[in-house]
Amino acid sequence: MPLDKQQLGNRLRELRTKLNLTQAGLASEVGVTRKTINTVENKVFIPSTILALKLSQVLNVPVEEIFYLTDKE
Amino acid sequence: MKNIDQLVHQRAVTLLFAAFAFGVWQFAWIGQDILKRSGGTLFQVAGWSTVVGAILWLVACHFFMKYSKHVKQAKACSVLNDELTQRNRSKAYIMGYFTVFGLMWLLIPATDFWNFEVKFAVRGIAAIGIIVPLVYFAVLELKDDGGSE
Repeated sequence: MPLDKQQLGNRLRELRTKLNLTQAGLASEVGVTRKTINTVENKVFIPSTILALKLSQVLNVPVEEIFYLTDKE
Repeated sequence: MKNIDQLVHQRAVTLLFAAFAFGVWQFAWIGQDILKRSGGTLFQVAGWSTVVGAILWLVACHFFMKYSKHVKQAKACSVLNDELTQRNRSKAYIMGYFTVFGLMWLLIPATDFWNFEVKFAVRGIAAIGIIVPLVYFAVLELKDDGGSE
């Protein structure tokens, strides 16, 4: 599948709510603003590898469980 | 103490106000210089607008200092400079760069069609070059926020 026909999907909202974390709570844990978490969840913003790894540490799951490639809608 | 969301909002609003104040100040000043020779009521209006704009700019500086104090109190310096903010800032700089670049290129043929002093146009473009990134950054910071969850 060509890269331009794929986008980054994520299960951030699902994993976050499983841990009873608010967007602000998760943002404070990883050191970003709540809006950054919000835009990642809504696929507006693609996070850096560093942020993805920090998220995986806080949510205690591998990065591949949070982020995955999906076909463009 | 203000929370991060409030600080993000305060930053965007302060920047919008600063852009407005700077615009009033600079464009009124340019207007005043253009109307210097003709004088009259419009010159007076431009003069007073320059003073009002300068005062508004001072108020904006005061708001910046207030914001900076809030950021220090909240120890939120690095959070408020996260990667989304950095991306928005880069986009705003690029927007400012292309706006100025485009206007400078438009200015060259414009001198063939209209008779005006290039100095004033360049001053106007320089002011736009500051206003556009400020406004664009503030808009980017305020939009695409689905609200707190």
